[in-house]
Amino acid sequence: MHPLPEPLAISPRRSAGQRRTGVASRVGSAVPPPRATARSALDLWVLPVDLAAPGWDVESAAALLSDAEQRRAAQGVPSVQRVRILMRAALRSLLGDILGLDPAAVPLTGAPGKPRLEGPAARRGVDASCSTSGDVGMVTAVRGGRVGVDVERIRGEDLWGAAAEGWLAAGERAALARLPIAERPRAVARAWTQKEAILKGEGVGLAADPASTVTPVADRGRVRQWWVCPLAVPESHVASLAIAPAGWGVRLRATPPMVLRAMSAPLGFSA
Amino acid sequence: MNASFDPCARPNDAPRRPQIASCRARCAAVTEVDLEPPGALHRWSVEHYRDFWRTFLDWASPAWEGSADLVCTSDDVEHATFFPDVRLNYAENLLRPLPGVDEEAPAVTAVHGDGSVERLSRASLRRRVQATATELAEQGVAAGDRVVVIAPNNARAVVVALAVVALGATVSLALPDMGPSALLGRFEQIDPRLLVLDRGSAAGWEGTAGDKLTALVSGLPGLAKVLVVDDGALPVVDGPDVGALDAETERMADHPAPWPRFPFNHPIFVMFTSGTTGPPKAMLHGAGGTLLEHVKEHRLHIDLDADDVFFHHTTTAWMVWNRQLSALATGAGIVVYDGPVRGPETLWRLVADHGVTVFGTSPAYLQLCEDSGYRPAAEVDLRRLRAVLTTGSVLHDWQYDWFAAAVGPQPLQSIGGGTDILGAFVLGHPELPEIRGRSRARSLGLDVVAVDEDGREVVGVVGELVCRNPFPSRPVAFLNDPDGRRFHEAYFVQHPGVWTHGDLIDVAADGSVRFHGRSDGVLNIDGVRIGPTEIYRILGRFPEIAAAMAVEQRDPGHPGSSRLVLLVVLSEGHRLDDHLAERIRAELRREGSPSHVPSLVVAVPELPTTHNGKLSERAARDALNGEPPRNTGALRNPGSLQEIVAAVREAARPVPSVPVASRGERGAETVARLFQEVLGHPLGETANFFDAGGTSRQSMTLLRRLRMESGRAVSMDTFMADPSIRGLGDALDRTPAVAVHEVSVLLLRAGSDPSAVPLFLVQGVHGDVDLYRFVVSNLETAGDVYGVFGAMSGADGERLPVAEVAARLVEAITAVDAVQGPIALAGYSFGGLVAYEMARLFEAAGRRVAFLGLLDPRPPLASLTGPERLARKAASFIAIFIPGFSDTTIGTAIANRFRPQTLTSEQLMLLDSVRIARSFRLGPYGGPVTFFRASRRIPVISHLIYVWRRMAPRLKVVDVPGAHYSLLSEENAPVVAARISRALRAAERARGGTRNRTRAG
Repeated sequence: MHPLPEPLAISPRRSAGQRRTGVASRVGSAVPPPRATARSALDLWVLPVDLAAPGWDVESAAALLSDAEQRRAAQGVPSVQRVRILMRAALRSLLGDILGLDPAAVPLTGAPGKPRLEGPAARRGVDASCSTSGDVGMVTAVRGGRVGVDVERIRGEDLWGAAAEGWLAAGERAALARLPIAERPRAVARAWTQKEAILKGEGVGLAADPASTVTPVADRGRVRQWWVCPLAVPESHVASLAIAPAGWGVRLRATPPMVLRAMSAPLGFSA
Repeated sequence: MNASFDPCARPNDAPRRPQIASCRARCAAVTEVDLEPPGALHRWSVEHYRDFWRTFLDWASPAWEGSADLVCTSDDVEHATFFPDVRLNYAENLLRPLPGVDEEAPAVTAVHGDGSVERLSRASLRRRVQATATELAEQGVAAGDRVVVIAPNNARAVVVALAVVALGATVSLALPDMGPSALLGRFEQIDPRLLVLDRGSAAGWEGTAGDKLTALVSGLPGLAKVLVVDDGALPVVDGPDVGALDAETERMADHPAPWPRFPFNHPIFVMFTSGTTGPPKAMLHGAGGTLLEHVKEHRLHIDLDADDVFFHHTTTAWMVWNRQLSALATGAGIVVYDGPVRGPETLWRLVADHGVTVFGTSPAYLQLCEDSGYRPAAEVDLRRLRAVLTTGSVLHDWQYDWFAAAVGPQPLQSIGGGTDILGAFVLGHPELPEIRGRSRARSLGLDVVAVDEDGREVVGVVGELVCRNPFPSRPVAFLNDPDGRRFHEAYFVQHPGVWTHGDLIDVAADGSVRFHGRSDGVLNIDGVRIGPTEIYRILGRFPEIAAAMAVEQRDPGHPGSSRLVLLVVLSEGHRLDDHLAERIRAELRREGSPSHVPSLVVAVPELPTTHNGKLSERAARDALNGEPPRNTGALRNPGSLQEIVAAVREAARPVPSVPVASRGERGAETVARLFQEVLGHPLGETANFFDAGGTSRQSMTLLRRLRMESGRAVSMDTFMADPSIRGLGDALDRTPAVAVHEVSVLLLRAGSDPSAVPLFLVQGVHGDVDLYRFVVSNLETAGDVYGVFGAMSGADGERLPVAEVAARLVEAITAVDAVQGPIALAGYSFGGLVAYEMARLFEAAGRRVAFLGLLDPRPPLASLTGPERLARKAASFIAIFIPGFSDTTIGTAIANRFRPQTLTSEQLMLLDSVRIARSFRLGPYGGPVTFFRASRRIPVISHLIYVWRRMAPRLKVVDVPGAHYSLLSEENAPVVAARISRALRAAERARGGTRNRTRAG
């Protein structure tokens, strides 16, 4: 089993009915020491979405989406449509909970692209990011900083194939080449997710050249003003979180149990 | 040449008593069993393998110390260890003085490609190894280190490898002609500290940016030192120290300290076998197992002794090299050869010239000789030759007849084994007459049998090759496999505790064996090996599929080729519709390779299963091939076979379309195909890539593929603006493209001297000159550089023959008023043939071609005589069996063997070009020609230069770095351009003052 990142290791078996309590207030070594006050700390919410779990009520999830979001979802082929509905509903539910709004009433725009809040909510300092790969979805939100997240299934590709795609910097290629062969597919996927998470957090996505964002070729580290660290997902996938705290410290907030209740769906991943 | 050495001085002796008889007598002393009847010794040697190996150790009496009381620790092949209390040194055993062995007789005869010969006596070889080992030890090499040696098959490779092993370090060898990816694929698993380099004639080892050495050094971060043993200038590289190692010195104290002896299973060789996916498997072989197995094979099965000269044609990268090396332990001399096979006579000439008594080769080489009508016995003196061994593939019945008629009465022995065991499972027997088409005997001490699916021994019918008892030459371990899982999965999954090799054999009652190809475990679809477990792993993701079986069926539509049929049992509530079938294909293509994609996906109610619950792929395969089932009694559900046959027949309607790209594909068509390949399903023209489930990562892959296939780069921004087939297709069409039917002469670079000869670069296989972009920017010529291109297809869309392409391009050049007087021409690959033909046309028209550069042109196959063609065919055939001769990855091999329904336009075009190039016949040309030859090539048979010379006597060869396909790449282009420039300047000088060129606006 891939070592779970602590303390961002969100129990894969936790269900919607269980409340997370007592989660530590910092994100491993990826963040500055916890000398922050509650006021200046970045609040972080991480919501894993197991898209393969049975019991998703896609119809009621769809009801949370705006017309524009529904149209965008409907552009996708059926499987993409389902994922877009569920992920957007999850995002709305999480943001609604944070902002104290009804999920359907969250003034959310930005699809495709980075989710953006509008109106008065935009001044509440909340930022969000979502990603899916296969059946693994991840919704994250922060207050007091910026966030990006990316999930990627680990392809059994070799390093040189990925390198030929041109998104790895020379230093990254060299560092990856130093890893044992068996570890490389995961490390390549991790590098990609870290880049994507940062670029998504910056709101530029692939408009920027991924090769110019040089990742640490490690589970966690610092890139520009971004801290990157892993999120717990099934072994077949890698998920990376990038956060740029405005102040000092990070506080991981429990995902409220009411989130997604409207969708009558489980949280986390089944073992 | 050593005057005192006359290889033919020794006449064929009176019949000698083979050593196996003496060993048998020794064995008879420890058992009551009568070992004289045929087969009795083998039977006893496996039933009492501990007694056998113990007795053999005593009889062979290598130099060892410790206790041999504990022969083997277990009966479980996977974990048993031999002689844990014995210590020995492999090199010591190969080199020590032996009673009755002339210390001054040649131990190693190294023959080079240029015909020069180097002979090392046993004493001299020992001194060189001692001196080299001393120097290596001074350089810090110690027991347990891992050293890689890149060297041609010459005497230095022998000396260095033995010196490394003598110190207790582990050695792995490869060829300097191998490509960087092939070398890295092997060596980065080893993570060596030291690289010993003998560059031979291979290029790319100078340490210049982007060459093989720098690629290797940057890929091997643990490499601390590079020692060069050839005479060339030392390369300069960042990182490791670079020094010289003199592997030819014999300066040593008279009584050097003896080498330490190491445990029996101390690893000495790292060997590689290619798997069906991923990098080659790296395995460690131990000193004692290697020595005992090889000495057993050499002395008991081949009967080698001090009177023998053993020549087994190989490269340093093949296990045959290690095996022939061990022949030194018998007192025999070995012959090594680092040159190419130039024709049927090459190796036979070596055999005769060097008094070879036992000659090892491949069935392919014998077939080459037969097909070309070469009769060795009539051409060369084979009086000393007493046996011929073949390995690598099946030796056919008819080859025995040819051999008897064209070579002589010597036994022709077919050997079968593997890198995995660094030895042979089946081989010859000095006392038993050969049987046409069969290997005569099983290796002593190895309980090799054929078994059915349930692991029961079968005799006289085809079964899976297993070895049921432990044997000393089992790999000590796989590298990078700390828990032994990969080792277990490689050999012990099918039949626990028993070595399952993955070959099909039949064993006759007389103990002789014939190979029948790979076992069910590996599918062989059009020559590409595919592990079905890989397919099952990928299908494991489909909840709709309860069970699956991949079967290789002879393709009824294409005799001689086979197709992959996937039988699936669906979970309850699911049915196989086109959508599911397409998803299965897409997933197999994406996760596996195009060769993993079945031709047919067929739903069946159940799969044939044995009483023990094992799936019987063989039963399904036999049924689908219309062969009588071998053993339906073993099946729990024989009725399933009829259902399968019926279902496959029903399903064998036209295959659901994997679109075949057509010739002259538009941008949107290329894009549509790539979308489908990346996403795994087809898509409408305007559908959004991301709406169809595409991820940003896949978009990177998509653009890369597009770049590779079209040679045009579309930016991510452009793609994101309209990520649909139409959008990207339009963008592609907007990207500067060449008109397909219109010949253009394009000034690629203006020269500084208007009077200098202009150079015309001739279109490549795609009808454009994009491929020269890196060369053009690096050329140093004062003249203008033009591209001439655009002649590809006629009005009917058919590809034009070479002569026609050449005529159109010549016409276009002639029409350019700005260019008058002499010109220079150069072309790559297919373009080389065109350029040659153009030069002939210019010559015929009386226009001077000052320079004709052929950049590794395709071989003009139609110009070959029959035997030459066969030689070439055999060369590529040999290349398949001799690792290191071919740098194609399995992936490339697969790409080269796409079946028709998955051919892309790219491949169709290439195939077309191959067809057209093949039908092209060289005509005579009297002008000067410079042939730029890619230095990385199959060394067996080179570029058929002689065929070119027949037609163009003024042909000069210049070696350039890189392989054919990478010759014009960014990394090789500077050197290629520099050599073209130099040749161009030389041609210019030769032209002298005859300048009559004018220049118009």
